[in-house]
Amino acid sequence: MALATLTLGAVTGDAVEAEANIGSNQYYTVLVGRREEGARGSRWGADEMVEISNRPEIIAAPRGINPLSKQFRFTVPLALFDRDHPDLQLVSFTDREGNNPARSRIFKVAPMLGTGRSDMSDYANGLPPSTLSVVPDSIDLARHNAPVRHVSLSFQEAAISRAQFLDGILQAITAAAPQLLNSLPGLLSEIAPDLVASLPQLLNSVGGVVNGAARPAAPAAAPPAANAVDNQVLVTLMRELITALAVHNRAAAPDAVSETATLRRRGDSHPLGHARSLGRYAGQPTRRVPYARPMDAGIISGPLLASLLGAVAGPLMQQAPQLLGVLADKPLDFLSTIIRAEAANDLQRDANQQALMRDILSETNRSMLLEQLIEKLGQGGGAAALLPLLAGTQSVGSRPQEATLVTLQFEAGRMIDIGGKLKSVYAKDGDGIDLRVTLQPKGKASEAPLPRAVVDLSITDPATGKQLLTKSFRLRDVYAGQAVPLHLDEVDLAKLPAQADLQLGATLRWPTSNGKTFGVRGHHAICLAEGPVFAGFGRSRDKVIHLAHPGDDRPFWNKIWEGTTTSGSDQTRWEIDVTCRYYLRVVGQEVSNGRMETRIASEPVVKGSTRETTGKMRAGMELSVEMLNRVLSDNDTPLPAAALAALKQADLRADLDREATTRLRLRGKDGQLGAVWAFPSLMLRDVHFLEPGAQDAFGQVTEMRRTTHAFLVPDRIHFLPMRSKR
Amino acid sequence: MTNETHSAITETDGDVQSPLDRQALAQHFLGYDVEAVITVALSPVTIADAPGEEARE
Repeated sequence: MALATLTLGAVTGDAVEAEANIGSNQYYTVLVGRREEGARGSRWGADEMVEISNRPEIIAAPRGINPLSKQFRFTVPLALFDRDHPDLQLVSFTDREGNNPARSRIFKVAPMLGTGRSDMSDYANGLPPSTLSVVPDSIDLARHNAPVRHVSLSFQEAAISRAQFLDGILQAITAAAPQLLNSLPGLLSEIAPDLVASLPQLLNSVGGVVNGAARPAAPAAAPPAANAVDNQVLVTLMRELITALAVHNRAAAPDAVSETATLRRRGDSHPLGHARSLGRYAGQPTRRVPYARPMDAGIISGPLLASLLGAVAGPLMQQAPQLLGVLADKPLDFLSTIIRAEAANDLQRDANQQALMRDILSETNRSMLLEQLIEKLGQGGGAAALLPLLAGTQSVGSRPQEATLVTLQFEAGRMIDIGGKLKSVYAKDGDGIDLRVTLQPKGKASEAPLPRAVVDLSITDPATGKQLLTKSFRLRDVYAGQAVPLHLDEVDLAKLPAQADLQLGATLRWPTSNGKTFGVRGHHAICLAEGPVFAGFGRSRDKVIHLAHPGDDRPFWNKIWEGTTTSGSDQTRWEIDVTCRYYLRVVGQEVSNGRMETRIASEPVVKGSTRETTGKMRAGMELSVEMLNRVLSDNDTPLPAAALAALKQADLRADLDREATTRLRLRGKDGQLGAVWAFPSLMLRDVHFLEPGAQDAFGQVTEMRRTTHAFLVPDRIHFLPMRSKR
Repeated sequence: MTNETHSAITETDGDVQSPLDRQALAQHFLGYDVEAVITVALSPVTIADAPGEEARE
């Protein structure tokens, strides 16, 4: 049977690929032109093109294995398409003279942006227009000619903090406390008999006496010395209760459990439960990628807590006023105890981490010296100077014993307020800086100095934990209470970034006469300034710039959705009805903007003859400071180079992370192409910088000058849903 | 039949009155009907980078 079936493929280089099936026909041609205006599209083809731009030639089809189903691939140069000739059609024939033609359905290849074929790169993903357009590494050919990166949508909105979580629990307990405590003994006897058995003893210890469900609680008048014990008991009580409630709820409310399981499954695969991701990772080991992070260790999570409270609220409303009285007197006590316990855990973790870092540093020093020693020996001498140093280093098994009578403190010097934070700022562009550490005695200071000591200084990036610089200083006659300078020269400073917080750690160690080595460690944070430092945004100005030209402002435009019906199916309509959440982030490190891939929570479904896409959609863009400054230069005074560099270094997430949510609905018929574009408007806003004005003899900045410029920041987002004409 | 309205979008769906002219924008999209201009004010949001596996996906 004679056929003419056309399937569009990817754009590679300067041509669009396509696949043809001409059935039993022997010859074919490809037409580039425009569908006749007003002509009604047919899924079975038979439409005719008008204003054909190419000179069609009838070509013999490649010989295939199956003479009744000739399938082959071909390419069409993009140069043939423009705004007047956006469509492509395949026509097959039985002979070279063009007899018995069969026409394919007409496909729109150019999305007909203002600049015509400039948008062809949107098809570089290799997907035909009937599916979601995802554009990897697309190159923009528009007037601004700025490349746009493709970035993964890797955002997740921040989970509720621990403090918010505890506040939430407190509010929930306060609200439900009267009913909750009324019913507690009855419920507990059902779900946690062991706990009920020990309840009188527990409550006695917190000042109330409960025997069965009878006596009111005595006022909690425990002496201060007993508070710690009381709180501990309350914490134990609450944990037992919550655990018991969870077990009980799991058994009694399978729906709640299945909901939790559903959430877990969804979180394991994708924050939005992306169906494509589910399929892609089917059969692979479970990955843990939670949408909202667990808010507390153990059994409590937001949905589970809600389901728990919902499930137990009714039965809890009727018993045990005594316990209510006790808890009502002390909710803050037991919550603060939980917080204190968590804080103690945090401190212990920090101490462990510091001990580990000490071990690693010690071993690193030792390894480096050993390497140098081996190298020197291999070169025939000169190693004598390294031997005492090597002997001075300690392996993990004999690391310095921590000194308990002294502390090591950095001299903070004059702190400067930058962006609401007080910082020790040093000038990077001078001859060098002197950090100062002081050995502070906890009691009476000994007048005798330490005859010799070594300070190991390490400087790390607090954001990444990456070690940027290590340096050791050999000291003599170190007196307690006297600052010791640690000089960093220009070479050292060149290894450190400017306008960024730096974490300092120093270990001072010294040998004693009995062969032991003592050590003490101190921490500090500084910032190196070189030129202006970003110091925050100020008031908004009136000027708003709409980036509304799809050609000139193409790097800021984002086609977040595109679709139609599936070729060859029975669908005659398509529809999208989604809640779209669009994110904008301003980044300094990238030169170009970045389009985030669009994610839709669920795959399209077919209802009757309609292909429906519903649910949640997420998309967004990264706007680079460089590109924003380029727009600024077209409309106003751009930022000076130094200020621009400072802004690129700044962490702008707290100031400029933005989102907009709206509902998007669009419907169309078979043969129509739907698309939704998004682009921002920018607002002019004051941006403040601080520059080093004066510095002391140690290179520490003592005064900063304030300067203010104007810069563009995202203000609003516009969505353009559109549908191709028939 | 061919001229029936397929979209239920209205220009009031956005948060703020759009300052942009739909017809002027539509001129850039020859061959397309721009159904609406939906303008939404941007709000501050706290977003974090998802775990590494998610970012690689």
